[in-house]
Amino acid sequence: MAHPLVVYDADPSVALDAAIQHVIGVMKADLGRAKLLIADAGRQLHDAMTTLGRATEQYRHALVTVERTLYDSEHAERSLGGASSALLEEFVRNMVRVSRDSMSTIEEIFVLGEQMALLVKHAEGIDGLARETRLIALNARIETQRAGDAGRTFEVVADEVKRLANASLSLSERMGTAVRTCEQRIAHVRATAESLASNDMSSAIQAHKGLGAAIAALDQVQRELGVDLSQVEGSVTQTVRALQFEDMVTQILDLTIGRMEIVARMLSRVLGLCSGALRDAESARAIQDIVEELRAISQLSLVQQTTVTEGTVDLF
Amino acid sequence: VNSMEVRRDKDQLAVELHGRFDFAIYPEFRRLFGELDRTRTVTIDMSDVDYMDSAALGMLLLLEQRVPRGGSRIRLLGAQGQPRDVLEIAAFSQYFDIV
Repeated sequence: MAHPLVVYDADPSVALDAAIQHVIGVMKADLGRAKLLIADAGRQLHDAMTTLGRATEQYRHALVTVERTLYDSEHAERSLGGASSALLEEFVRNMVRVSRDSMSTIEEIFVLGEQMALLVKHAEGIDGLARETRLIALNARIETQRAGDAGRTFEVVADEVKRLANASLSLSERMGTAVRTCEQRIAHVRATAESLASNDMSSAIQAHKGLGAAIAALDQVQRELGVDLSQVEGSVTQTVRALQFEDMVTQILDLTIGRMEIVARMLSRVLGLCSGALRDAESARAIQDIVEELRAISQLSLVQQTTVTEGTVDLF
Repeated sequence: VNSMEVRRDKDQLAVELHGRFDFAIYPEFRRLFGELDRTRTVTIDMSDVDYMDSAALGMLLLLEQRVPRGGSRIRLLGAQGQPRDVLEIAAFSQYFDIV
């Protein structure tokens, strides 16, 4: 509490003492306000750092959840990236398996085609034999007619041989038709197998590269965000630790105030001892000047508020 | 132009492929199956192949299955660009030596 400023004309030392006590009172009030400002700033900084710390922790938790959802190298099957990679690998494996099996089928069809060609060749052979047999039967019939009655029995045999030759020709024709039908069916199966075996791999390659690039980008983001969060957490810890300055400054201010009170009491005692010696005009004028200066000092004031939220703030 | 050249040196078979490696070359490619009985090593140079599809993968696997016991793994040489990507995505290094 500041002392009221009163000037006693009769004894200048009393006026001086009063002025000194007044200034010291103003100084104590200023220091008290400084303590309040520091305490208020400390509280607000602590609250802000606590909020920032919690927000950072929540952010880290959310980040980890997002990372695990998108790509988790330890449990790849549970993450989007891992599941996509597995799906793509399975897709390519199936494509390769289908191509291998289709090509295996096609190889069998090629072998079958070779056997069919042999079959056609054999059928052509049978056909040739039948035509020769029919010619022989015709010649035999001519010879039996030339032989007259003696050849009548043989004529029946020649007719029978001719009938068998014609039957062989008909059979080889039917065989040829069947073989051609088989060849058409086999060509159809081969075309289907070829279509199954032949797939363009470009889309799988693009998907594989795209997925790899996305996972690499996620890894990079993960590393960068991880570093930044560590820095934020480190700064919060450092700031909270630094806020202990408030206690130290308050202790210094309390000590200073205590010392000022002691000095004020000592000055009062000194002025009391000197009061008789300062009544001449020259001393009275000098003391009056000092009193005026002390009055001016006590009226200087920079900051009146006691909380940091009362003033405006210029950031950076 | 898609083509295939085959050279034999004792029990070594060297194959060179050119252009597209797809089903169109199979009638020629399957002739290799008949060569495998007296072969210990097969090398397929793919440095001049600019495209291959899944049918080519199937053909390579058929060839690999027919290598006699005691023969070494088939070597695929010089694949680059799209053919190398196809071999990688199909994880063919588990069946072939890809150089």
